[in-house]
Amino acid sequence: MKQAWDLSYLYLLGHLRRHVYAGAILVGLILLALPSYVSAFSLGTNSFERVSKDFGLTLIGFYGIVMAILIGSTTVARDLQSRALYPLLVRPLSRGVYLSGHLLALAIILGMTLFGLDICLTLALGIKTGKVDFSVGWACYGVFLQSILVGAVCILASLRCSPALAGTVGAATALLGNLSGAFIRFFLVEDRGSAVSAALAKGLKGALPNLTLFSLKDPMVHQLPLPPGYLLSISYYGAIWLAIFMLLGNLIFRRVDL
Amino acid sequence: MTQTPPAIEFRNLRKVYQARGERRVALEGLSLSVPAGEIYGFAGPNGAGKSTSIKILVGLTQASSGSARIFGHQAGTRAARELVGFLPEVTLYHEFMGAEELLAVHARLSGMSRADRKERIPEVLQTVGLWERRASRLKEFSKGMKQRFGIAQAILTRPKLLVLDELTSGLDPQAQANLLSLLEALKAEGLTIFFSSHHLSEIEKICDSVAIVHLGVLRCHGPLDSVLGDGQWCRLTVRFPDQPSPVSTWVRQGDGSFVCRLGRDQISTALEGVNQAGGELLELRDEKDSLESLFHRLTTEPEAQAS
Repeated sequence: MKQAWDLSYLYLLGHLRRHVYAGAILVGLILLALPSYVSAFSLGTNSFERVSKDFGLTLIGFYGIVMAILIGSTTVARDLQSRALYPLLVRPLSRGVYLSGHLLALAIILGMTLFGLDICLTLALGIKTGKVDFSVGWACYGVFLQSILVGAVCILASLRCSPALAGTVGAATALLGNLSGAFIRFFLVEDRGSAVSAALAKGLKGALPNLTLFSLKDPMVHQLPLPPGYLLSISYYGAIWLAIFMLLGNLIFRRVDL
Repeated sequence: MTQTPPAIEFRNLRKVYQARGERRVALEGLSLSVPAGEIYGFAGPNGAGKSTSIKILVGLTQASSGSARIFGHQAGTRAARELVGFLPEVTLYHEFMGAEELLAVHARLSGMSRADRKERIPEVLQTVGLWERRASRLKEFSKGMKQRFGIAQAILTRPKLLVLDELTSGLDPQAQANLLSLLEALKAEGLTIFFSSHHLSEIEKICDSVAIVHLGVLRCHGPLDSVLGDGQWCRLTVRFPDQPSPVSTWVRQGDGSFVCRLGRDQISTALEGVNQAGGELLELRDEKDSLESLFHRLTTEPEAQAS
């Protein structure tokens, strides 16, 4: 585990020195200005707060996924292409630990970014409404869990395919994982009458983590109560899928001839 | 009394790559033993199997069959990895890192203690002449400096065996000479150095022993002098009274004399022949093969191609 932390330090520095946070600064500035912009439409205090939260959390969710795809699909691929992993892997270090180091760095950079964006939105809403609302933080936590799983899929795919294809696999996972049962039922079965498409979508969805479980935006925007222990349950659920992806990654990578 | 195992031992090593239904044999039954404390040159043309053998040795690639051992430990195991330092061919490293910073990461990954790191990192940077540039990022380094950094990371953990893949490829002569003297200094410290290259002059210059591999097959190996035939070959120069030469193996020189390269056991017969033909012996001296001619003979002759 100590080796994974040491490696994550290396890759985290790499992400920071390549300025991967630049986009987050832009998104943060947008979030800071968002409530003032929305309130200009004079929708009333309650509506403006909801609309600002909805827009803000949608933006944070989208940004988290895009960042996970971009970093996840290139972090190992860059090492493979430059052969920079050779001197690392000849040390007494397993390939599983090497992958864990990448994942840990991805988790840290995603966590830092999403926490920063959470602070921006909470601060902007607090200034406008005069009260501090922590619900944005819980929604950002859901985005974090979702993004880290999509990033892990990208890392896994990049062991065997190009960064572009790995990114596509990650995007497809995010899309399918967020496909709701209602969408499949209404748009694929009832509306189009396509039983094959519906079965395919259901099959793929069943083989992937259900990312809709991490979507806490609607309950937080509409202030709906979460079932007791829900956050803990989704944390376990995310950790199990992460362990599955890392196990698969290790199985694939240990057989790869470098 | 227990015998010290060889630094490297390849036993009947075979590697077959399979891609899109196509099989390519990279190594075919390679067996080689490298004694400890030597600089051992590993030569061969591009695609001969040098890098594949090295990658199997350091655990980056799995052999299809056969075995590779480092000081008696199976290649790729933790025990073997702890004994080896490796400089890969054309590596870019993590160029966003500073030299000292990246060495610290390597040291931590290898399990070095904080005190040991504090002492060893400046030591290796001084050894390779990069101490003044310790804070510079690797992307600011020239190719020669990157190779020197590569040696620094390879010797960081005080390995017993240093494996270098195409160390001087693409370097200017000055940088090449600097690296070769560095290797000699490291050998003097007791390291075994296994060194792949297709620059034959540098192998001839610094290696104690050499192996030549071609098309995945070991063509020759052993101490440099014995491989080059030192003491086994003679060069005979004679002048015959009436031209041309009596035997077709004589090669005519510009001054009208004839030369011939012979094994030691053939000299008496050849001298008898010269006498009978009324020839005059001008010179008889020892001759050894050059590594370059040996290399060309072993890697381009029809039988080498066929096998």
